Amino acid sequence: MKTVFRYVLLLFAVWLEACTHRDVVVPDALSAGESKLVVVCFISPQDSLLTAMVSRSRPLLDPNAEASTGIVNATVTLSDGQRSATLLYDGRLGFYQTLARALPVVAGQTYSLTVSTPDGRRARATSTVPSAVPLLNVALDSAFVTEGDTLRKRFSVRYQWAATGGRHYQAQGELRLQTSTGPVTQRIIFRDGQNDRGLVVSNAPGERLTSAPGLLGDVPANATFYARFTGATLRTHLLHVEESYYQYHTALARQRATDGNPFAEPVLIPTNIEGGLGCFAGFNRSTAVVQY
Amino acid sequence: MVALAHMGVGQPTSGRVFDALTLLPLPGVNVYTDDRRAGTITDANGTFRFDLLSADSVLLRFSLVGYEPAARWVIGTTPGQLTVLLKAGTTLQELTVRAKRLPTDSAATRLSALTLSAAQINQTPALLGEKDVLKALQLLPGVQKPTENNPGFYVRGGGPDQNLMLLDGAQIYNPNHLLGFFSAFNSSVIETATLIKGGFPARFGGRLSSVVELQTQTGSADSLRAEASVGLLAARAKLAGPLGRRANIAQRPTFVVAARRSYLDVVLRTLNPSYDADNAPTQTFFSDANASLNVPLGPRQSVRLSAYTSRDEYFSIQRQAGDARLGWQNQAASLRWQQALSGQQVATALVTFSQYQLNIENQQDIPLRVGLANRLALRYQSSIRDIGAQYEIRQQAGAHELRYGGQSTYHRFIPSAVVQNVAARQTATSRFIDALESGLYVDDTWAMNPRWRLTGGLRLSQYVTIGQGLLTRRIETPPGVMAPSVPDTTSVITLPGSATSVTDGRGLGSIPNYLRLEPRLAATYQWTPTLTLKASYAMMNQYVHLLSSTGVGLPADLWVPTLGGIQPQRAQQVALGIAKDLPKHGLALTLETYGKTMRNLISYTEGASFLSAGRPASAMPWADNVTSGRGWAYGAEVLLQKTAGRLTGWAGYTLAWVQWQFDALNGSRPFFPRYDRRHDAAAVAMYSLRPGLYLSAAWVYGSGNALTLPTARFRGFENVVTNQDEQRFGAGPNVREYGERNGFRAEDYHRLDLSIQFRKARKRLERTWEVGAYNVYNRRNPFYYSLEGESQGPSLPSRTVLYRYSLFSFLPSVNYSLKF
Repeated sequence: MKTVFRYVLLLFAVWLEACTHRDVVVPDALSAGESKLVVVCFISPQDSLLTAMVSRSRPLLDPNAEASTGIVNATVTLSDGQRSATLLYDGRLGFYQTLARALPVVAGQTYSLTVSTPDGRRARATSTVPSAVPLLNVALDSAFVTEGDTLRKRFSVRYQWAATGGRHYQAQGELRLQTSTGPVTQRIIFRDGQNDRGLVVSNAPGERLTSAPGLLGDVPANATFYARFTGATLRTHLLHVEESYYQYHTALARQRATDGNPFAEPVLIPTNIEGGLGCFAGFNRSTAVVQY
Repeated sequence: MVALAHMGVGQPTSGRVFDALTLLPLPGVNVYTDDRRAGTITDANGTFRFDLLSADSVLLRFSLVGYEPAARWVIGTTPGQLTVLLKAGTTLQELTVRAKRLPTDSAATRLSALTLSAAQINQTPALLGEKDVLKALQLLPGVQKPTENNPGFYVRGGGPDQNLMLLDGAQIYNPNHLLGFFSAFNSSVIETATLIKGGFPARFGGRLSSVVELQTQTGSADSLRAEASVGLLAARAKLAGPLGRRANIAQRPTFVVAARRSYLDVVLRTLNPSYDADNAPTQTFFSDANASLNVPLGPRQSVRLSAYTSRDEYFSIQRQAGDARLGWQNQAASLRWQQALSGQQVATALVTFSQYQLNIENQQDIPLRVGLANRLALRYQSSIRDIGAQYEIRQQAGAHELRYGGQSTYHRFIPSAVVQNVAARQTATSRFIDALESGLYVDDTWAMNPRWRLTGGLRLSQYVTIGQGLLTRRIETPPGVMAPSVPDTTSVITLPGSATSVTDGRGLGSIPNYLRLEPRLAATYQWTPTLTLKASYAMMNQYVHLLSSTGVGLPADLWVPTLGGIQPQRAQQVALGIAKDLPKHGLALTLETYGKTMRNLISYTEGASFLSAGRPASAMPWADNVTSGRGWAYGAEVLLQKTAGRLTGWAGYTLAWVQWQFDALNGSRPFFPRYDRRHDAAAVAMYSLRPGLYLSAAWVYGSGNALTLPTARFRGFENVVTNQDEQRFGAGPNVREYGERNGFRAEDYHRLDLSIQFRKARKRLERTWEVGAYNVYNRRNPFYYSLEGESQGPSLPSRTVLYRYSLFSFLPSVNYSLKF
């Protein structure tokens, strides 16, 4: 009887296994969905070029994963309501551009961007360029950290400013290091628990804000910075940005940070592009240079 | 039974029927005239009402399975309330049990309340023959189930945490077994299950969407009864009967004990004989037990003690990589004292205890050198413990029936996740939060005249956080594991308002304290003897919340308190309904429509994850990843019941909408939550072929749930300030485009279940064979969807494929049970 019972259970378990099915499904929304225009354009009074990236989205179940999504034959026009400039595709750079003097970008001014393609797709967006907000302080710091069983000295930088403009800001920067083999330029990563893009939002007008620490590099604990580098130039940028800029970049960073984590909530990437995806936003940049 | 047949509009006769021992109201009591020309059934509160022709003098009879019948003369010219006490002790014939019906016909006084009896629960076909009270409730209109075979449910657009689930008065927080495939309640001890979807009586509070009241059996006073059953999934046993041999059967204490345990771990062990291998099998089992003791203390007093425990374990033992374990437990107990006071008053005092604990442990060994490992452990521990007290008076005063009292519940929440080294004599630290939730309430049901019946209620609810602090416990170190060189990484999640010192357990930055009034109103108008119009309004507040990453009630969800920036949820609901009896055909039809608004709903923010791969859980404090918003729901429900004859059952249909709007989700645009389902239908039929042979069938249908799936990819270029022009948009890695949150609809769900019961009664025992089939036409319903990469061949890039996973295609079952 015991043996019979055991076989009955075994049969039951096999049946349970067989009851789980996996089928490929191809919903229209994921396969036959028409690709959308993706327009990314950021304008600033400090830039010498007006630039825009135009591409298309690819349906998720599109089997042709390596096909290029770039669009090279779009008509891209920037306008301030009175004057306009057409951005032309630059094959070397891979995006559309024109000189900034064709349409000066001024703080407080609203600009519109229009993109159309020969197959009839059209996208449009507007942006108002924020005012400049000065950097008040750039603080360099170092700390001992443990990596595995090695003690190292890590260098970082923090910016300070007052939220005298709007609520949204971004810290960016470049470090140009002089080495024995020549200069090396690296982008500074500002990382905290929320994002790794140096994005900051203020809670009150005039609030004094501090960026996340921006990692400059590290050296062995018993070494000095100058033992490895002969000099450095730190270019610090504080960007006063529009809310749409902040939301778009925050979502990009969050989606990338949770990529592959099955427990994470999905991150939707917002867009202010009518008829497409992406972001068109203005920013105003304050720069300070620190020379070592 | 025939409902209100041949009766004209006349003097109203109403009353309530109670258990003579426990003084609990008795639902489902047959009330009929001596000539059997008219009758009705008591509702969930033991109340009945129908009209007698004027100048009639009739003998009303009262009968219920397991009770001695009673009779009362009623003079038609003297309307009033009857109070009837039924004594336990007589077992009626089986067919009488089958005649028991849902008291939702025109005589039912309350809108949006439905009751299922034990007979209905046990005759409804179920997966693997495991009768399930919550799945039976899912078959009623207005209740939507989340996914394949999950017993959680969503009532009128409410979330899974918005259902107040009471087992003999004690709250149950996680009513799931086996990762949600079965409910945690043993149906063999459930006497009645009452679901209230709207128009809530004032004595209920603390949840927005529904109340599920489960009453367990009290045990027979005449003789000892035993019951045992064996199925493919679990075995169960029950023993019930009197304690002692007092001559007065009404004064005998009675008891019920029951237990159930699953076999699945045995099955999996059989499947995997290599139990001791390095990659040992995952094992799982569940168990639960119920016990109750009912003690009459004289003719006017009784005491009832009820206890319940359930346990689930899901674990794998991997010698190389460490153990993984998931488990949860419910414990509940209640002590109810009732006394009939002078006049028409009944006093009830209730003390309850309930506790829910969830433990997830996942250990991983990081080799340090030969023979020595550093073992890191993720410990995810969440618990909520309640101690409650309630005192209530029920009083009949002329045409008014009053019910007033107060209740208070002391909550202790421990929502935490810890990553730490496992080392000798190390301790784990968790933060607890204590809160007190109280309510004062009064309900007045006023029979204004023969046609109108009004119920007005008011509840004053209060919630206050009492304190919070730290708990530590010692962690035992497994042999061969130590961490001599790596510093302790124990950390505790932080909570809003806890920036000040909290180590003394009283250091709160801000103490949430809410005092809120909740008006309730219900009205019924008896248009004709067989047609009643009903309306209700209710405002509800909810102070405890379920923080869910999936919305399907998986055990990893966290119960969290109202705290700091998390406000109490609030809902207002209006419902209108019509109840129509068709006595010639033994049918009762109910139509209801409702509208509900909800505020301060909570959800994880986009990108939030409590269990974040490769990152300490402590780096993701839950309160920092919560956002709040509002919601609204509306819909219509139809329920047609057949309550008499050899064929009984019901058919229900729900047309519903629910939408949420959160500032931080979906770009502030409204969206459908995961459990929005436009159409939901169920039909349940039970047919008596002949005495001892019963057929039953259930067909369910639901349109697809709302899910968030990416629809496209695009290159996510960003702004980079640089002198190198070619880098000013960054690398542009692929990102996913989701469109609208929950913008993807799963495929429709439907299936047919059948079962046949063969019962044979012998002199001292009854045996039942039940053969059933789940999903008879083998529909592959979606359980979940998964996007996975698939190779297209050498030198070709892999492509993304969407898989639909289905569980439980055609699945037969057999159960055998014995009753002594």
